[in-house]
Amino acid sequence: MSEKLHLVHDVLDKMVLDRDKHRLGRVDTLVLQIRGDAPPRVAYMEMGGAAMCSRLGRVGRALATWIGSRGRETPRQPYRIAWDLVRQVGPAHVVVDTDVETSRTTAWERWLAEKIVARLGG
Amino acid sequence: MKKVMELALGLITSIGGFLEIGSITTAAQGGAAYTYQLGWSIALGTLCLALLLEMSGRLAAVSKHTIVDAIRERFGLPFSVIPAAVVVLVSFLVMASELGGVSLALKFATGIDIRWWALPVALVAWLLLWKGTFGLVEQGVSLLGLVTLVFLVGAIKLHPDWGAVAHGLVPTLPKKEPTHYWFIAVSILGASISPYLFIFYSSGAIEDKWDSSYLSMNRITAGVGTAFGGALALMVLVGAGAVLAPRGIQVDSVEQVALLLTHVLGRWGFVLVVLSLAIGSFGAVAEIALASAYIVAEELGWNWSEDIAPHDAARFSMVYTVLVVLSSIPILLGLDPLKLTMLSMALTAASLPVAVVPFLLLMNDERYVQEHTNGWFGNSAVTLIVLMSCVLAVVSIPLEIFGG
Amino acid sequence: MAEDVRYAPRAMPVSRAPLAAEAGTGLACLANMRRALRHAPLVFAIAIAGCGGSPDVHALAQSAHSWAATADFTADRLAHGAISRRFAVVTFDRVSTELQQLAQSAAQVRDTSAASARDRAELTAQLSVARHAVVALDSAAARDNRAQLAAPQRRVGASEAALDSLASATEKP
Repeated sequence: MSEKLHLVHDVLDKMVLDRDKHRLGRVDTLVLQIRGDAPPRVAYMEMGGAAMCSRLGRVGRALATWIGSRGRETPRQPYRIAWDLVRQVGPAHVVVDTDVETSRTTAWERWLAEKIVARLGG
Repeated sequence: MKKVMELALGLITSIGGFLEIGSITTAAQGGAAYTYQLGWSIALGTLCLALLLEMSGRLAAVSKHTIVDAIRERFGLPFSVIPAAVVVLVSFLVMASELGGVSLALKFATGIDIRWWALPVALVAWLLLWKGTFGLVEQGVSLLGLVTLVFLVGAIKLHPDWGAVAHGLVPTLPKKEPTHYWFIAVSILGASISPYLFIFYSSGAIEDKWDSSYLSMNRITAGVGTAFGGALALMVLVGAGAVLAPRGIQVDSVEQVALLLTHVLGRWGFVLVVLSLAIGSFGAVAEIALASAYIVAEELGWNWSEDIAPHDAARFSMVYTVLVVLSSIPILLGLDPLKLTMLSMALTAASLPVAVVPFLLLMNDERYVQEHTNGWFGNSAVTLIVLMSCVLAVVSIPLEIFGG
Repeated sequence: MAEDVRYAPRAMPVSRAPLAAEAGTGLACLANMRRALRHAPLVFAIAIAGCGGSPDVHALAQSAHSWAATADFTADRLAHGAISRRFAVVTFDRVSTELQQLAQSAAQVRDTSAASARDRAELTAQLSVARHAVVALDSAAARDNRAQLAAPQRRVGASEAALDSLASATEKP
């Protein structure tokens, strides 16, 4: 990808699809890597509840910390997808070289599908 | 040929799916209290709805984004959660009142109290959503909703003063109780311009895989279909104006609405009005539950579609499941469905600005609608709708208290 | 040493003048609404204070007339077979409950000096009419006990309670 990308216009809040065009989630935050005097580079896209809450002010950030640290000694990072896995940034989606079935971003979806939806005959 | 069939279905859906407890009771209240004088508020609400629906459909067909998608991407998460949360909350109250509407209709038919009906109705609505497809939810129920044409038949048979009805389409000031007049006008506008309607419409356009070739069909469905639906609401007002107003009957309960066409259509008038209330409100329950699930899933980036099995969109399916069940609680607690309806209509009117303001920017953004941006007419219309909704936002709650 | 920094600025860019003008209208609306809402607590306080006053006598009379007319109309429709007896009973229950509440409000108002003699006379007259209408609907709905789902005792009790309230409300103070 050598053309210019406007991170806020074109990437942030966009829907993310896996390599088979299944919905993974949205780009909820971007993580830039600052390396001394070198220009920053885009390192990760963050997705999920904690990433979203961190954008919603003081209460949101507290909520994000709580989500990350629930039942753990060291708080967990929000779900991250490395920028290197991005294959395409289109007008409607960002396509990423992962699989929705194994991605951590859809863990809750799979849990709900197995434990509750299946029991209700869905 | 396929497009013609789709268009026909789309029109029928708009007509049969228009009336529900909110539009029926607010129109009946208007007709009973002020005869035909409030016809203009139905016309205005219908026109605004038609314009907003056309824009939602155009946005979806051209940009392949639903409204919620577009608002989240264009304005970012911190702004977009506000309209999303507000619309979900207000729509929840509307859904509870619609469930109340179905329960009331069943009470009128059987004599059994509404509290016994709340959960069974919620269960049936849930089953429809769980097992059904988008087409079944949207078109199936609306086809049954054609029973609401009884209001048109009844109004014609009543031989009202059509001149006075036409006169009522022009706004006039009331001769008595102005606060009550404006309260009903605002409620009618809230009943007509419900945000869940255009969110449902734009998500439906994506479900049906609309593209730019559907733009004319979108215009016809949104314009003509909604106009016919609004005309049916006007017929409810005409019926109430011709039957209830001369007798001095105010609409303070839905029982009074059920009596509307019993004089002119006999037993069929009673049966079909009760059926209209039941089917119209039931369709609204399913639609609102689905619209709310669309809002949450689209805002948060979850997988969504009514056309796939629930286990393939588990979080989306659980949202409407939980909401449908929770919406039975107000009725189970014994809250009066009519009072709940009036409150939810007032709150809908109050929440309109947050839902409508984003249209102003989105419909002019070429990144979304490409060359199909709003012309001067569309922009003027949206600006006026935004101004009107700001006024409604300020006056609706005080009017509910003073004039309700 | 590389440092990770989150990047998600608030974005509502408006890049073109016509767009800005249109957005300006929308944003100005929102700003005005926010300003108006700041006064909302005051509006609500006034409204709530206003609600604490005595109910309008004329409105009560109109309401009584409306319920009486509803009862009349229902009885008439039942006599013509246009509605089911079940529905007539449902309507009767509703009318008698509403009239009970109305009568209680009327009793409060009857004794206040704020209401004019003419308004009070109108209210008394409407409540008497309502009383007759409730009796008529009661008899009409009672004719065929088999079709009723409401227990006869409860229905009779409701009508008696409504009639009692109406009687006390229509008595001279």
